[in-house]
Amino acid sequence: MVSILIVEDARGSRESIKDALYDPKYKVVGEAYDGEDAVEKFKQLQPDIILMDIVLPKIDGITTIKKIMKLDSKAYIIAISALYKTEQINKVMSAGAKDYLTKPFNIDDLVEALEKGLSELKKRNKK
Amino acid sequence: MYLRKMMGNKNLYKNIIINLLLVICILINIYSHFILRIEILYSHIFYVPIILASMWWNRKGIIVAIFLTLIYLGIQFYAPLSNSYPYPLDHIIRGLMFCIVSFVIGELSYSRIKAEEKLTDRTKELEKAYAGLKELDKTKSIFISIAAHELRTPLQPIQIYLDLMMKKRLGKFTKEEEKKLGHIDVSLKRLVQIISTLLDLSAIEEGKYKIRIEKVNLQKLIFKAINEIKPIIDEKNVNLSTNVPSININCDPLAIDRVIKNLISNAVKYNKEKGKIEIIAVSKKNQIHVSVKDTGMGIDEKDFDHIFERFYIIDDTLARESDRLGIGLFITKYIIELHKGKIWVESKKGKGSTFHFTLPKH
Repeated sequence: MVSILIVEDARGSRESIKDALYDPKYKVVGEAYDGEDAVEKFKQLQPDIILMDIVLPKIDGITTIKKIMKLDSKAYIIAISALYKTEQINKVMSAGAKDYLTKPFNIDDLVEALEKGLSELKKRNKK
Repeated sequence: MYLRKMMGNKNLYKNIIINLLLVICILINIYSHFILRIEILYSHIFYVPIILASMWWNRKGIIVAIFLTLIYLGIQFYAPLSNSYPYPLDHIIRGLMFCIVSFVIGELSYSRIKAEEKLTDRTKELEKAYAGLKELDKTKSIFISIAAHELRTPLQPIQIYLDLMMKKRLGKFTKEEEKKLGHIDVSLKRLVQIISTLLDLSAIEEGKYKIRIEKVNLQKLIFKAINEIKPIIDEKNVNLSTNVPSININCDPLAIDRVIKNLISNAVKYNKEKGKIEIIAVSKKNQIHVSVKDTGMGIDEKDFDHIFERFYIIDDTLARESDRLGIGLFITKYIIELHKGKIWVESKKGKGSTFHFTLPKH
């Protein structure tokens, strides 16, 4: 089972992502509404994968990713955002995100990204 | 202050030179008279203020020049400076001539300077208007970018819940209801494509469209793009076939995804009902050659060079019937050229089109 933390300020999006992860192998262990909340929840829950929105209240997603990476450099973060420009995606990826999903993504895209993350985590555990 | 103003205007130098030449002429004249009759020197001194007055370079100068000439003529009539010079009429004629010359030069200089000032003012106004338009265009691009971004966000739950319904996770639907869900899916995909196109356009206009090169499997990339716009393809009952080898290329996957989707969408849009689309990719020595062939309406040869231009729409009547913005091929070409590739079209009116593009392998 993969534990997932969803960081998303829009309630509709957050709920929909939670509903999209209906497969029992995915377990949404927590939800965060802003950057500060995300860092706190990460410390408490230690999820395997974080689905992180980039445009967030209080602390933006890029700063939040950096803060989480400082706490655990092996954290697996998948950025989810409507930001589209390569320049912006580059910033997100250099902050430490491992993958990027552009909104609106479908369930297959989400599952594909999670599976990629899962196999990455498995490889890491084997080492 | 006058001199400072005069020094600041380069055009005034030309007029100064003309007037200085006149002064030199007078000096030569004075000199020749000086050799013959010394007294005449004093009378000629009056010419200098007349010329200098005309150098004032505006109408005031001309008035002063005329005024000085009149004084000079008055003196000549009532108290001639040179009693020994027997031709007072000569002074009068010279005085009048200088008055006319001063008037003409002054008036011409005045008119020209005024015209130049007007031209400079107009140029400044145009520059200001151009800067304003540029700023407005930039604001428009930023607005489109923000609006498009804001439009994508609320589409997220719509996309997921539609997916869940189509995957029958939210209950069962009748065939008729499933068909309607399919229509929603097609509309949603079209909307996402339009928003993406607007975002791409605003990024290009802002000069912020950049690519992020990584190694990608071309076959996977093309199949993924086809899969994502499958509802649009199916809606028109178009038969799509592919012949794409599983090869790795270096490109920006998001950008090339846009290219593939744009070309396939066009091939669907302009195709006939139950038409065909063929996607072929060939690996060559240093490049990959991809072609998208359709059995649609075709393109007139005269439009070949224009179809890649921004906002160029071939047939205005059809433009109202379909979701065309006239920017898809412009963006496609921009992306291909950013990858140092080439794009072109082969087509015959009524016999379909083939869009080709190449991408360097490394």
